Amino acid sequence: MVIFGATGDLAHRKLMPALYNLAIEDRLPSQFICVAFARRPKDSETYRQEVRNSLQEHSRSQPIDEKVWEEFSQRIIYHQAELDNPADYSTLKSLLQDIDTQYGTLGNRIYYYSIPPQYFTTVTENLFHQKLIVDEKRFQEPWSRVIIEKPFGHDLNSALELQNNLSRFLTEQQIYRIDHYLGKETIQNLLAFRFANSFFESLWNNRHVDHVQITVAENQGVGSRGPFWEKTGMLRDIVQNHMMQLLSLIAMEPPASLTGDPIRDEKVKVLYAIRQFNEDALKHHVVRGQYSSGYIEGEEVTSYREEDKVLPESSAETYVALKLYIDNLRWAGVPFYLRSGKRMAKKATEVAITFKSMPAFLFQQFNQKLDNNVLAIRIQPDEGISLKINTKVPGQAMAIQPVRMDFRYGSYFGAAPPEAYERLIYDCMIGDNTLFIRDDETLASWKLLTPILEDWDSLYPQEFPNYSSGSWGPEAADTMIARDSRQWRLI
Amino acid sequence: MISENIREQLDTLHYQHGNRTFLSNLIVYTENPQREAHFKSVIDKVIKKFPSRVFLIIMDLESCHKNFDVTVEVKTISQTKALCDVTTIKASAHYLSRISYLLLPFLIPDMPVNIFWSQDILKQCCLFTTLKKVANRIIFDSESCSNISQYSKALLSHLEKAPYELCEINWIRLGSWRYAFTSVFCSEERINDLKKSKDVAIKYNDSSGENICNAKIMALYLQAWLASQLGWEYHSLSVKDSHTVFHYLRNDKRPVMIHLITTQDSALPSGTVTTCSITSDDDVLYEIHRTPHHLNVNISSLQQCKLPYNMPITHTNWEQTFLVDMLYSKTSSHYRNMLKVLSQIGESTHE
Repeated sequence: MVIFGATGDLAHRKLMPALYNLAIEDRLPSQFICVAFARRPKDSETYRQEVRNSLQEHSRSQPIDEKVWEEFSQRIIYHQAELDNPADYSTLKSLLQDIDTQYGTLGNRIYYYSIPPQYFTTVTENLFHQKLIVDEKRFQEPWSRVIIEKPFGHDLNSALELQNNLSRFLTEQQIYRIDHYLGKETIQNLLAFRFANSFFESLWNNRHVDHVQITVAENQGVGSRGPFWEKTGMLRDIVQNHMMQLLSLIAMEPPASLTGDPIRDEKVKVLYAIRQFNEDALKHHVVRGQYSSGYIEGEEVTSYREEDKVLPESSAETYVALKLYIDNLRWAGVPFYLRSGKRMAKKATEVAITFKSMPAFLFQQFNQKLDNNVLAIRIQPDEGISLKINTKVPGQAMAIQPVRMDFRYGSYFGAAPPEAYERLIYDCMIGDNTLFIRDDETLASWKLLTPILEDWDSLYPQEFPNYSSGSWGPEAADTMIARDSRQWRLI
Repeated sequence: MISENIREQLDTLHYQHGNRTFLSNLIVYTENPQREAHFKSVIDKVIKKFPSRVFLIIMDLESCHKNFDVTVEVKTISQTKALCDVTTIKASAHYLSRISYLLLPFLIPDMPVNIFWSQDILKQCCLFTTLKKVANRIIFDSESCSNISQYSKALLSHLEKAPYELCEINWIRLGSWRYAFTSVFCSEERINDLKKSKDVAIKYNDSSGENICNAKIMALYLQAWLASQLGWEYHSLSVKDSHTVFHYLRNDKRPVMIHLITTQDSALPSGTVTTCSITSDDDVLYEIHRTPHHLNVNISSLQQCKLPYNMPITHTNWEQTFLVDMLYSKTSSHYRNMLKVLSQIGESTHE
C-alpha cells in the first residue's frame, strides 16, 4: 500500500491506526508493506516514531502492543517524493520492485490518495506511465487499486472532469471512492436492520411513514480548517457525500444480494429518483446558515467569521437544511428533512423515521394527545436504535405516556467494533467494493445539489450569521419544517 | 467546563440497584431563590409517580455577584427502584443567556419536554424564548402574575399560536372544586338553579404562606370558570376593603353578583377556596365547604333542608389526578373559556 500524503492529518489520525489495528487482529497479509509517500525530508525510522506517537493518541487499541508494533513498524517504509515530479515515480517503481523481491508482495498495489483533489489526476497519470497501475483483468497483471478521499469534485462539472480524467487511466473497478461513514458498524447495520426484520420492511413506505429526518450535527467549529471551509462549506463537505449515502441506504429497495453492485445499483436508483430542485424548491426547501458566537458546553465560543483565516464577510455556510422528495412508488409524498451543521447543541448523527399518527378518536374523550411512533437510528455517538411507542400511565385515568424501547451496541456487544477505516481498507484489500461509492452515485448527488450551489453563488447571504453556536440551527430551518406542521427532532 | 462536569456526573452516577428511567424532561424555572424548597417538593411529588430527568433552574437576578453552581443528584423512587437525576443550577443574572445552551445537549430525545415556568409571562426572558421552542408542554404559575387580565390575554395569545400544550398550576389546583360542581349540580333541576343564581359567595383562605403570596388567584379562577360555563357576561367589578364583587349579566340579562371574601383557615393551604355559596332566584341555597379531607355539601330552600353530605378528597387520588392533569391532559376548553372571561376584567391581583 502506498499512501500519498503520508505525513498529513488523515494518515496519522486514521490510516496508520487502522493498519496497526488490522495488524493486531492478524488481518494484514503476511506480505504487506506500507510505503509512506510524502515530500518532507526524513527517513523511515523518524517516520516510524511519528507513527508510534500517532498510535498512542489515536489508536483504539491501547496501550501499544510492543510485539505487534515491532513487526508492524518494520513494514513501514518512508519514501520522500513530490507528487508532481515524474522522476519520483520512477524511484517509487524501483522501490516497489525491491519490496516485491525482498518481501514477496507479489505486485498487488493499493494507492491511497490522502492528498488534495487537484493532485488526483497528476498522481494517477504518473503511476500509469510507470505501469504501476494496470487493468489486471485485461493484462493478467497483479491487481492495482486506488482509494480516493472526498471531495470527489466540488460540483457536477468538476466531478465529471475528475471522473473523465481518472477513467483515462483506471477502470471503475479499480477506483475505490471512500466515505468513511459507510465503514461504520451502525451504517452497515442499516441493511441488516431493514432486511432482516420482516415487520419493519412492511412499514417502510409511504403508507406508514409520515416523514424522515436525517441529522448530522457537530458541536465543534471549523477550528484551524478555516481556509478549507471557505472553499468547501457544509453542502460539499457533508451533505453531498455522507448524507446522500445515509439517505440512499434508508430509502433503497431490497437488493438482489448484499454485495457490491446490487447494493450500489439500488442506491443509485434512489438518488436519481430524488426530485430535482426547481426555483420554488430552492426558495422554500433549502436553508443555509452560519454560526455566530454562543455557548458550547457552557463555554463562550466565537462566530465563524472570527475563526482563524476566515473572511470577515464570508458567505461559507456551516449549516444546511433541505427538504427532499423521492418520487418512486415506495416514497411518493413522504418528505425527507436533512440538516447538518457545525457548532450545534451536541454532536449527533441520527436517522429518524416518524410514522403516521393513529386516528385519535379513541382517546379524544380522555383529552389525550398521541405522539407519533418514531424509529431512531443513532449512528454516533451512543450507537443504537430506539423505538418510541405510546403506553398507558398506570392508574384510573386513561393518560398516555410515550416511552422508548432502546437497543445500544455498547450494552449488548462486548467487543468494540472496528473503526470505519479498518473495515474499508480491509475490504479494498480483498476486492470488496460494496462499501465504496460508485461513479454514478457521486454524479447523481452532484447533479441534485449543484443547482443549490449555483443559486447560493448568485446571492450573497445578508442574513449571515443566522444561528447561535450551541443552538439547533437557524430559525429559517424551523420555519421550513413548521410550514408542514412538523418540527425538528430534539436529539 | 461546566457541561463536562454535568456529563461526567450524569454518565458515572452509580445507578445501582435500579434502572435509569426517564418519562420526560422536566425543566423548572424560578427567579425566587426563597421558593427553592417549594419547587423541590413539587419535583419530588412529580418524580415519585413519573420519574423524569429534571433541571431546576434558580436564578438570582438581584445578586450583583457572578454566581454559577451546578449539582447533580440521583433520586430513588423507593417502590419501583426507578432512578432519575435532578440537576440544580443556581446562577446570577450574568449567566442567564447561557443556561439554555447548557440544557439542550442533555435533554432526553423522544421524551416530552415539560417546562414549569413560575415567572410572570408578561416579563420578557431570553431563556423562555429559547426553551419554548423545544417544549411539548408549558406549565405556568399565575402566582407570579401582577395583572390577571393582562396575564390571561397573554396566555390566550400563547394558546392560539403555540405548538405546545399549555396548562396552569392554579387551574389544576381547582380540580377538586370543578369536580364538586359537576357532582353537586348533576340534575337538570339543579343546573337550572345554578343558571338562575342571583348571588355567589366565594371565600378563600387569605392566611399567609411561604409558598403562596397571591392568595386570591384560585378564587378569581373559580368565579371566572363559573361565569364562562354558565354563559354570564362580565359587566363590572367593585372592591371594598378586602371584599371584591364581580357583576355579571345572566343569559336572561338579569344581574348576578359573585363576591370574593377573605377568610382565615390555618388548616388549609393559603389561597385555597374554602366555601362557595350559591343562592338562586328561588332562594335555594347551595353551600359547599372545604375541609382538609372532604367537601361538605349543604342544600336548603325556604321550604326544606336536604341532608348534608360529604364528598371525600383522598390525598392519593387527587395527587394522581393533579399530576395527570399537569403532565398529560391537553389544554382544556374550560380553561380557555375561563381565560377569556378573566381577560376582560381590569383587576389587579395585588390589593
